[in-house]
Amino acid sequence: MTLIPDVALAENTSQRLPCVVVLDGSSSMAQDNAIGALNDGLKLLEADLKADDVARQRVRILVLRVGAPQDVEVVTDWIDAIEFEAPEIEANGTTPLGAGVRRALDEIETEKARYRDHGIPYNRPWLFVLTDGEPTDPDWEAAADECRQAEESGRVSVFCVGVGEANLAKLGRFSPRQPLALKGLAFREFFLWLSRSARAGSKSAPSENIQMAAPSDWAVVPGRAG
Amino acid sequence: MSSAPGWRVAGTSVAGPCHANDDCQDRHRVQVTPGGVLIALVSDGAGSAKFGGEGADLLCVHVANALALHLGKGKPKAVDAQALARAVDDGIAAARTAAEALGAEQGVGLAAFHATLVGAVVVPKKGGLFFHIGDGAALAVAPESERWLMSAPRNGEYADTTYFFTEPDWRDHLRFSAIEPGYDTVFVMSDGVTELGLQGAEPHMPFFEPIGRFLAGASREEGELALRATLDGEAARGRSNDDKTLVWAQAR
Repeated sequence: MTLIPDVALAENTSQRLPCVVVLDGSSSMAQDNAIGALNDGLKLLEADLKADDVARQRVRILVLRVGAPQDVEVVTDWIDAIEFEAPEIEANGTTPLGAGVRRALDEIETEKARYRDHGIPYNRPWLFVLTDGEPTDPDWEAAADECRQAEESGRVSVFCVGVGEANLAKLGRFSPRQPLALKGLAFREFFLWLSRSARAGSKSAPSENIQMAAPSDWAVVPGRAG
Repeated sequence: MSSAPGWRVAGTSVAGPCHANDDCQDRHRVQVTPGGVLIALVSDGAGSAKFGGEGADLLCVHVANALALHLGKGKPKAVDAQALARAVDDGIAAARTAAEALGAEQGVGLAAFHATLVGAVVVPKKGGLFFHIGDGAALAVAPESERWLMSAPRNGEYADTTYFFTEPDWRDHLRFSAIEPGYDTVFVMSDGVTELGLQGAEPHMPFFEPIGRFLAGASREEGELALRATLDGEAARGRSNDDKTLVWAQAR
């Protein structure tokens, strides 16, 4: 088919989708080698994002781990998906999720300010929180309230995912969106869903929640069959 | 050759790779009144809305009809921007009423019909008006590409949100801007094309000029086929996975 000759596309900085993943690196994640499945999932996330022309330029990733010896550890600092290398998460310590989420919210606002300074368009940021337990830091409830408010005022879209025996009631305090329970150790399916969702192009009204594909192959919605 | 009096026109909408399994939800309409006034508009139905494509359809039809009705058959002596803006407003209101009725049959609300609107109405040699809700863009270019005017996209803070005709506060986001006399070429496009053709907040002329030149020298059918191939080509797909619509018109 004939193309129109000499058409030069504009060279724009791609719009960015900031995406923070807060991962539970507590000792209990060693049980049934959940941590191994999580690390496999991260490798798949890397491969799948890099395989897509749009996603690898659009997605900016920050990976935080909660556990010991540091309560919150930056395991992968902000990086474009095209350069992302899956980190290896260790299972050691407790689950200071409140501190992890607070750090994530701070990082998101700092990152947005960087985009604005450089005139880079950006999507509403995503924050994923994954745990197999429950928050162990004393003021997690205040952090959960801050997180829920950040979602309600449109600053971020928060997704909470429980693994195994995770306390979904406590996890549910972090977002108005219902927490989801991972089917078994379906981390690969979860990260694949995340990657595929990041390349969708459809828009929504500012007042509306983001619409994602149904997480049917990795999640069990509590209170419903299947 | 286009048979429209006073204007040569062409336009196409292609589905983006990420909508490959769905239909394209962009719609466009370009018509010329018997008095030689150009009406060109593009609507991008939200992929997240169940009936986004239908919303875009209704919006194109009703706004074009309201403008055509207002303009009638005569040749306007001048551009009455206020009256044109009123006609656009009437057309959007009519599209909302029609979408509400269709939604009632389907058991869904207006939000199921989310769509943006961008367009131009131009009287040859006398100028005209851009009208706009949300993203996409409309561009008027003077002969030899020496000057241009643009109605730029507007999204709010995030690039993945925009404004739609279906929202309760749609009038707050409906924008008009004047097209002065002296611009003979018009491009109207959806956001899939602004990703290719805008450099920051300005049109990237090495994108628009070759397209305008080619369309001006081709039959409408040949031009639209080549435009389609270009917007659906590997380079364009690698840059944007959205639906892409571009409408072109040039005063003769």
